[in-house]
Amino acid sequence: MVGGVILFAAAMLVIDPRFRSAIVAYEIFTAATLWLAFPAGAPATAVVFFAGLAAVKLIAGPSALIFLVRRYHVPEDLAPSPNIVVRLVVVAIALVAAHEVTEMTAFAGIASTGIVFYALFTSMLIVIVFRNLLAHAIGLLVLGSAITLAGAVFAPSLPGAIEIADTFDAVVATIVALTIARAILAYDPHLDIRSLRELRG
Amino acid sequence: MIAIVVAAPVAGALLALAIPRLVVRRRVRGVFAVVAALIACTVFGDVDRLSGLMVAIITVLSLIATIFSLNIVPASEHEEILWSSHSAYFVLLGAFWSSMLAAVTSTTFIGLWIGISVTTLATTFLVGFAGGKAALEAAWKYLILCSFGIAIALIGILFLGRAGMDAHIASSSALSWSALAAHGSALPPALARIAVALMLLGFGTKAGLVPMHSWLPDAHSKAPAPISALLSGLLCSCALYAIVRVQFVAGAFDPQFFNTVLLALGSLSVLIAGTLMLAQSDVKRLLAYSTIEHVGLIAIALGLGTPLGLFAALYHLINHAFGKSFAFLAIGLVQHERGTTTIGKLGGLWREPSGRLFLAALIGLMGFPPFGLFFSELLIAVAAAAAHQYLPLACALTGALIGFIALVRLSIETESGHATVHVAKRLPLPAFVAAACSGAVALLLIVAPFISAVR
Repeated sequence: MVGGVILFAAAMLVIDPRFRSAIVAYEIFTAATLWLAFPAGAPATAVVFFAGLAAVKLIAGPSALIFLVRRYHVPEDLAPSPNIVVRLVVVAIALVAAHEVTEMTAFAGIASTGIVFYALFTSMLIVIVFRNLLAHAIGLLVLGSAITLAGAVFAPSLPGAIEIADTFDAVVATIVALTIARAILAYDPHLDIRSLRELRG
Repeated sequence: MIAIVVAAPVAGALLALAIPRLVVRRRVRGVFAVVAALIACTVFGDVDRLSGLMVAIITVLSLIATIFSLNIVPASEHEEILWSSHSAYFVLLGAFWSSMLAAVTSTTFIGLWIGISVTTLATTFLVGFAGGKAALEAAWKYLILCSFGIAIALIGILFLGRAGMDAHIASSSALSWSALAAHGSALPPALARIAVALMLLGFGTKAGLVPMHSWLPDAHSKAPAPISALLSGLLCSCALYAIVRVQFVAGAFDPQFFNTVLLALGSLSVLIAGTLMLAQSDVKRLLAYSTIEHVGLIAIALGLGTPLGLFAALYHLINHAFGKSFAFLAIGLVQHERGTTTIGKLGGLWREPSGRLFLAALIGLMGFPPFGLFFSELLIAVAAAAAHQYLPLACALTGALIGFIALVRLSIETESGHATVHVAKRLPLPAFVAAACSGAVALLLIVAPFISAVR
């Protein structure tokens, strides 16, 4: 059930070019990954710690994105490069590729490997498919959530330092990216990656 | 003690903000940087030799870059940009210094990853410090590509942690390289192989190995000169240090696989970067491609998997760190005087002290004696021949030869002829001395192998 929610939300992130839909899909995707990563049976301190990280993931990054869009009137179209058919095909390829990974001997006996790889692939696809810099920042956030899921699936008993590092890296990187994007607005109000082609060779 | 060593540079930069008078604040920044460097000297007993070596390189070069920056304060043409103040510059420089120290003093992969990850966040604003469209473009590419690269390394670390736990290593030490190497034969090889490949991909992105290098020429050419010196001399070295640590673990279960990938990436880097050096019209961009070429040479030396190869790689890493920083600081002096780094506009540099310093740096990068790079490049060639790795050796020699031609052409075009741009500003002596110091160390490093041999 939760796996299905992750599959759907990640697909929406690649297919739907609207900023608001992307934020909603990110919230659903992250909530579902956190649900799977929840340390059931852990001591109260670990649960409180996890709740804190979840709040940062669900609130800080999206709030910064929404603030930038509302404050500076950034267009809410994420400007996909390929059309919807190609985007659907790309999502299907990501699904097949994630399934193929589960067949590898390295991951034999590890449950939910396919969902982890599908989440990782879609976070990278968001950056490739959309031209709007906001989509790239969303891609960073999605990647952070995908890594949280990977940590829960592959190494649930590893030190919590990984989750702290991953969460803060994703959120701080997104805020740094949005600060740079704010400065880029002076040159391109559409925040289109095609305007960043001065440096070549 | 390590925590104090790591925190000192950024703490010093933050404390200096409390001083209201600008002239006093500048001096205090310098004093705090010297204090941070002295504190770093206390760490050597607490870390292993490789970490100690990295701490020494980071401390000396960061101190030189700070002193240089205090005298030629990078100026932003876009004052409206949030991070373009001098105070922000020095705090970010301190954070960069601290994060590199954190990376190399850690004993686990997660500590190393956190340190390297923070360097990206600290340096993004430094790359975009000048403002303007090109600098912002460089900062954006740097942030996105390096964030994704370093995230891939984290996934590799998670896989390695899982492999460690499958080998019955306690979860608290499953990310320690010494524990992982000690249990190397018990690690599940298929999972561990994917883990080290992802880590090589991630840290290789940060090191600038081809084909993950596309951010590097933009970031190194658009950052202020002292930051370019640190990005080229230190940040790439820290990423290569991470690769050495991964190789240490990979060597315990399947050295052949990891070394083959390293040799392939190194050979590709040397050839492509050497060729692209010929096509550059900007000095800093050309030096950035030269960095990729040298990173490739170091990767080849590491990929040989022999003690001589490792020695040659580390020796070249130190030589390159000081040699390339020297070149970037020297071109920073030229830029301060002439206001440009475009090759076509930089004639007649030989007539000025900064130009002569830049020529000395270029001679060092070309691999001429008595600079240490001559000896380390020779050692890499000898190590490759001794390991019968003739294809990587051929790639290394070809790439180095093309790079040599590009540097000779650069020195002729910039040093000869007449100045086409009027010398705009006077050269501050302390900045000149700071640049010369990095050159002097690059020169003195020729004796390092002999000291090592005697010991």
